[in-house]
Amino acid sequence: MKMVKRKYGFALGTSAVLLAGLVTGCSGNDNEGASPSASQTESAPASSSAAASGSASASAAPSQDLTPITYTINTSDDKLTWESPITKKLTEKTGVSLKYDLTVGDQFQKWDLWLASNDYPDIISLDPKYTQKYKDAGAIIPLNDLIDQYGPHIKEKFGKYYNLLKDKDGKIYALYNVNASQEASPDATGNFIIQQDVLKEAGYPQVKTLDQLYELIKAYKEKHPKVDGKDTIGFAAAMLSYTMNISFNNPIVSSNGWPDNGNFKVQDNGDVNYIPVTDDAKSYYKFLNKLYRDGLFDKEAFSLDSIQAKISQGRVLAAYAPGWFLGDSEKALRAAGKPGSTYAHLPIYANENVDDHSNAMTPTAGGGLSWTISAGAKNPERIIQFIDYLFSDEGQVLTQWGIESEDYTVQDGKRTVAEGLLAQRSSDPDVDYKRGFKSTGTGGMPWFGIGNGAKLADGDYATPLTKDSVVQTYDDTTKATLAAYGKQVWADFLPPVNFVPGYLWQLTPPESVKVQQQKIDDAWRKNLPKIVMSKSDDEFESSWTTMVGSIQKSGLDDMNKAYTQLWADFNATYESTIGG
Amino acid sequence: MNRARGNYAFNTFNYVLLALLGFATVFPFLNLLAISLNDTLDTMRGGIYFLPRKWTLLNYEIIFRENGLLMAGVRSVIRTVLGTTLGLFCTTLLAYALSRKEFFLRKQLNVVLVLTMYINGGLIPTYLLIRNLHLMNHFAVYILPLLISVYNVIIMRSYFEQLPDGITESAKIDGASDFQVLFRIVLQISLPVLSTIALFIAVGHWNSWFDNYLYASRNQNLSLLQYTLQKVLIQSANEIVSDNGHANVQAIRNNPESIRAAITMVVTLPILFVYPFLQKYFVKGITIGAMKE
Amino acid sequence: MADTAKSLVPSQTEAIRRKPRRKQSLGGLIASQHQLLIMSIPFVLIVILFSYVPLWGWIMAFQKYTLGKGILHSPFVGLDNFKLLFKDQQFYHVLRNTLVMGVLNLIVSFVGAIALALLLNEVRARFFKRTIQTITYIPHFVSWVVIANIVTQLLSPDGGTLNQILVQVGILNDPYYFMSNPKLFWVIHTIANLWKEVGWNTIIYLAILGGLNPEHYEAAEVDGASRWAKMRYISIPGLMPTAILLLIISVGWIIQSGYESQFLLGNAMTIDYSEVLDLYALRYSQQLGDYSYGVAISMFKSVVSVLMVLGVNYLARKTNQSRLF
Repeated sequence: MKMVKRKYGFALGTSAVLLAGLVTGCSGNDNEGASPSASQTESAPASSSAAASGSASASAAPSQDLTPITYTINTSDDKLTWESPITKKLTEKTGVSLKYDLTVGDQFQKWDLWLASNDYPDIISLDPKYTQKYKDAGAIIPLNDLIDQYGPHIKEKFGKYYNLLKDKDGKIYALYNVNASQEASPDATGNFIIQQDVLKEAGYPQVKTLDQLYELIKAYKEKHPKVDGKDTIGFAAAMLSYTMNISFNNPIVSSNGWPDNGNFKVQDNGDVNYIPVTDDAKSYYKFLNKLYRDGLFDKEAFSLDSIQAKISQGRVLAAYAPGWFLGDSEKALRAAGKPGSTYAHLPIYANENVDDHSNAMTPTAGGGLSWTISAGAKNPERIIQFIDYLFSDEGQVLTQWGIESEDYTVQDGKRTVAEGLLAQRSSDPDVDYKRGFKSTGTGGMPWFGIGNGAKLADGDYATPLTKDSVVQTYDDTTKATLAAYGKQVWADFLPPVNFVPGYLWQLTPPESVKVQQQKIDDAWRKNLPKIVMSKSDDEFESSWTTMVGSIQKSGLDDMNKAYTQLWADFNATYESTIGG
Repeated sequence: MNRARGNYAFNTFNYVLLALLGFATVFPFLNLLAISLNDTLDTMRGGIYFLPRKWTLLNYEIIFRENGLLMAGVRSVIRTVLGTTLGLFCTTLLAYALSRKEFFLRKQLNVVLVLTMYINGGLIPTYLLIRNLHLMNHFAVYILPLLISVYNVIIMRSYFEQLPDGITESAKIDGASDFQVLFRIVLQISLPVLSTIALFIAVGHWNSWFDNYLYASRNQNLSLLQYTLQKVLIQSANEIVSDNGHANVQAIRNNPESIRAAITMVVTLPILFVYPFLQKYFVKGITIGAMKE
Repeated sequence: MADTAKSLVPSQTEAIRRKPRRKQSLGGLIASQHQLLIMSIPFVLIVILFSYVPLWGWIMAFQKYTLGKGILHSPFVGLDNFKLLFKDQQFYHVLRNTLVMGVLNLIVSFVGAIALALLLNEVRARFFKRTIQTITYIPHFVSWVVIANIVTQLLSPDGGTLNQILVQVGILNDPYYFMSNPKLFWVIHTIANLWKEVGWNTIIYLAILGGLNPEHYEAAEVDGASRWAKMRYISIPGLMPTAILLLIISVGWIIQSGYESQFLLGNAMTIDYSEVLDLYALRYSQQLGDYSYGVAISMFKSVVSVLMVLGVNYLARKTNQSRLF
């Protein structure tokens, strides 16, 4: 669940918001998205094996300067504090303290103003687009030499993917997570959701295709036209603001089994195409249109910015919704005594023949927020030493597992989360802040974590998230549904992990076509409701033609070309990196 | 007889119409009140109108748990009181000067001021200006840029201009200076407009959070109520799922409707009471005015 | 000093009555009107500081401004940004929407506020009057997010109250998707805006009505004037100078509509009618990092605003109404 969650979380953070959405929609939704990633062949580097297993010798440079020093860093997370056991320990080990510079509201605007006035924190947590802007302005420094000198663990953890950190000019400006995991996170899930009661009533059938899903919904709604006096909604979606991509782009990606490249489909020959005008998109919209014409599609999908309210009423039988998109609505259903109305999270395909490559992993978390070091920061080597400590095994254990005996216990060389901490977590939502597990701007995981399922040199997991810990969070209904399909977790429905060099959305969008892209997204947004709400096949066809025409006129070819080039350049870099 | 009936009909119509309007405008407020007192999860299920379904004070607790909320409230009050006092004083002086027909710069200054209502240099130059004036993270940034609202000046100026000429002129002939005329005569008969402008300025200061966000966010000791509550709202929207253990935490889009409602209550209630308090001045000016004329 | 001031008094009042300026030299004027200068100049300087000084930012409109380079090092591009703006079809579209909605809002809220003020003025029961006054101004403090939410729910085809009523009464057979009809957007937006702001806009008029001389009403009463007559010959003329003034001011703001309400009430289906200039500016400048384009739009708006105000002010002067300057 987690991996996919994060993935789309980022899509939300960049493409959806920047291209089509508006500040209002996303101000409350500051995703520090990043991609899941893994390196298939990462080996424990011999050179630093001495640093492993959390021994004292782990600190990178024995000569390290430990005099107290404080750096400022920006965050949008109000609850972060340096007054916690883990962060205090970090200061003890490195001498470094962080002071959070809070950006409430529109952080892009803040970043702009900082740059305009040359007034920014020492460590600036930026997305790739702003990293470029800051770099061009000379506001952040290249880190290559500093890492060479003070960052052995950074190099060790990135391993052969180290060069991926480099910008076009060969310099490194930003640091973020690397994913050393070999497997998909056990909390990953498929993104189509179906009410568990619907499956139960149908006798837990195999649901693989959209057609099967359609039949299932239709049959259930005929039997149960109302839920608590209100109309049952067969399939829900929401298109206002940033939800556009989640409801109307991403399902096309998932149901065709592609890796997620945002609004683009990467062809085998390397050509990149804008998804909403592809035939695959057309057939998905056809599916929605069929639902609409049969009264199964939510009547007001095109003026809603969330499906949570309707889901919380237990009226929505199915939808496309990554876990985070559901928010607390499943909790609300359980609280209302309707666990059967919560969802099964499954991958569903356009047809029987889809070969699913959507469960993809990339080696780094590039594309999300990352740490850059300002040109004004004093002693930047101290910052690198601090980051290097975080990348060390000792730092990983400290930041992901916490403090031994307080947050976790060790038995037979295996770490287990302490009972006390688990109990605290269920009663106090802020406990992770109070302990210091939270950080800002490093990608999908806090404190430069190296991925759920990744192992440290001591042979134990780098993070506490395992299949067992995921199962623990399920209620009985969920367990029953999973058992009926012979699975343990929702991740078991996913195909094997697929390793890809990166995602298109992780790359900085081409500057040359940004206006065209905005226009194209506008045209897509504007025309889509007519297509889905067509009353006949003819109307569907003509609305479709109108949209495609309008998108082509807005500069589709230019945009596709620019993205094709971007992707080709990236792959060339990747090849040369891995090769050399 | 006929007129009496007509009057009665009109009054009935008028009262009914106003009552309906009152209902229509109070509805969102009562609705918010109910939602703010309802369990957050339950609110997601919709259908709350005038009464909470699952009664709770938790939403308010969450708000009042926020560190420094009380101090932020105090600061907001100080800012509002100070800003309103100073603003009203300066607005009055400027409006009076511009209302004097004999003032030789009247026309020029009017044009200079009026244009500012329509031009805007943009965010970046303004930001840099505030920085260069060393107003960043300083309390004065709340007061100085908002000291004069040209809109208010013009309303007040227009009010002064409509006062009967005789009152001020006879005073002038008696040798009163402009300051004396303003404070001894004009202000005495201008309570309705003074209280209106005071309300406008006060509401502006109370509601303002953008200057806090832009210019004073690095100084915790300058955080105002609106800004602090904005943080609570964003935080609750970013509520973190921690039930799977910390390692898989994700920012999720929670539905903060109940918290938002409670926040609206907390920030609106204090300022709502300013108006009824000022309403009594809306009729006070006339008696004096009538006597003098 | 005090002596000169005193000796000036007679001639000064003379000046007020007759020819205000010609008789005195500049120095004399400054001396005689120093109090007025003290009352105005410092505050005008503050306004100039915060409103005119930042206007150097308009230079950006003629540049390809980037944050890193700043105003000093960004290259000049002449009128390119303006050309781009005036060539964009969408610009005319959003301009039309902005103007239409602006005018609708202006008229409806102008008439609505005055009507409400007059009606409230007729209420004798003080408690009722004050209660309604206070209640109607509440929505002004409720954010557009909440208001838009309420409107959307009210009009929802999926169990919205209005649809339920209309279906029940038999006016509609099936719930109607109001928010999907672009032609209804202007109506919905205008009503929502009226509802939110009418009470607030009334405050100033109530203050003016409160300030009117009660003797006039009493005299009219004695003459046997009807309620209508009093409204027509005393209340409305009393309101007019301020009302006209506010109207002139607002005409300049027609093009500066903001975007919050339109954005929150609008959706993809109504976008042809709901997108306004400020939203367009946000999406095509700030979000794309193209500040120059945004400044060009802002300059355009300022020029249009000022021209409109000057025009209306000129009309007001011609017809002897109150005016801005």
